[in-house]
Amino acid sequence: MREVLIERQGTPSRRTLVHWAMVFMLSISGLLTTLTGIYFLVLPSGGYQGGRNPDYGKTFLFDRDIWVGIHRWAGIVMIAVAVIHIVLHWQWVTEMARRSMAIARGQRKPFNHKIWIRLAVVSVIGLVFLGVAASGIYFFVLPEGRAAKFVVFLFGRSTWDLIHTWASIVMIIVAVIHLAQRWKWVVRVTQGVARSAFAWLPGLRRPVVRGSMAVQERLTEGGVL
Amino acid sequence: MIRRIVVLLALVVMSGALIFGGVHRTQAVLASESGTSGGAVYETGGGPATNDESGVRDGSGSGRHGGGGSNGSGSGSESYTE
Repeated sequence: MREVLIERQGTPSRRTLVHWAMVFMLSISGLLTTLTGIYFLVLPSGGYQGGRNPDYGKTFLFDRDIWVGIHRWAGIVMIAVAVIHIVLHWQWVTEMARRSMAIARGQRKPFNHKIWIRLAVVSVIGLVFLGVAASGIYFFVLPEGRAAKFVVFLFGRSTWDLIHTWASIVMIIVAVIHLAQRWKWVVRVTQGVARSAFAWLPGLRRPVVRGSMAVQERLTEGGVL
Repeated sequence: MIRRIVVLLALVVMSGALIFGGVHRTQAVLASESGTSGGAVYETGGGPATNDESGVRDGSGSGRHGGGGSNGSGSGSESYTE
């Protein structure tokens, strides 16, 4: 009976759609901030620096200001969506924290190694996200300028810059690992979304999802594990 | 299996490139930091001219950022030729 129901529904649930939309927006804004961030790694400084900046005045595709603008606004969108993403998964976060504590106390059987790796990846992303977001907000509030150079909030501007740079680098690497771990879910749900979005096209009219309830539950969980 | 190896290789290459870029940026940020706080920063720069032929070897110059250095006493207008 349940199998029949799955077959008839065929499309991802509303909850899964929301999760997918979050992941989609996170991916697009993350890609934009990463690409513009690479620009700032290659051409680290646009300032004049008294003649010792060989990159001064160099442009690539657009002016530096446009790169800064894209990076800033895509970053703000990414932070906002990431916060929603965390809120949507908060139950999972608290549950995993509770289980981890129980394992640490010896009250529960340990996770298998796959879950440990995923847990480690998600924990690292969460930690470095704090660094990226905090330093990003610092630069959003205090954009480049002569006056901003002398404003010290907890650390100097250069320290914030280095925190932003290295936290971002770690976050990009670990986020790619996270995406690779969840790749099957992304592909499966994206196919389901595409089928339902283009259901009016002949040939795509009847989405078919075959498989057990476990597969369907993985489809709809939208979670990290 | 092959797909996993390709993904791993791509990840290693990407991480290496990002870390290389990070080191590049870190050097620039630190250099900029020391430039604003004075000291012998301008090894080749000769002040607000350009960053090319008019530099003073080991000179301090008078750049826009940073004060005089301790290793030299050249000025921005001097030049040397090989």
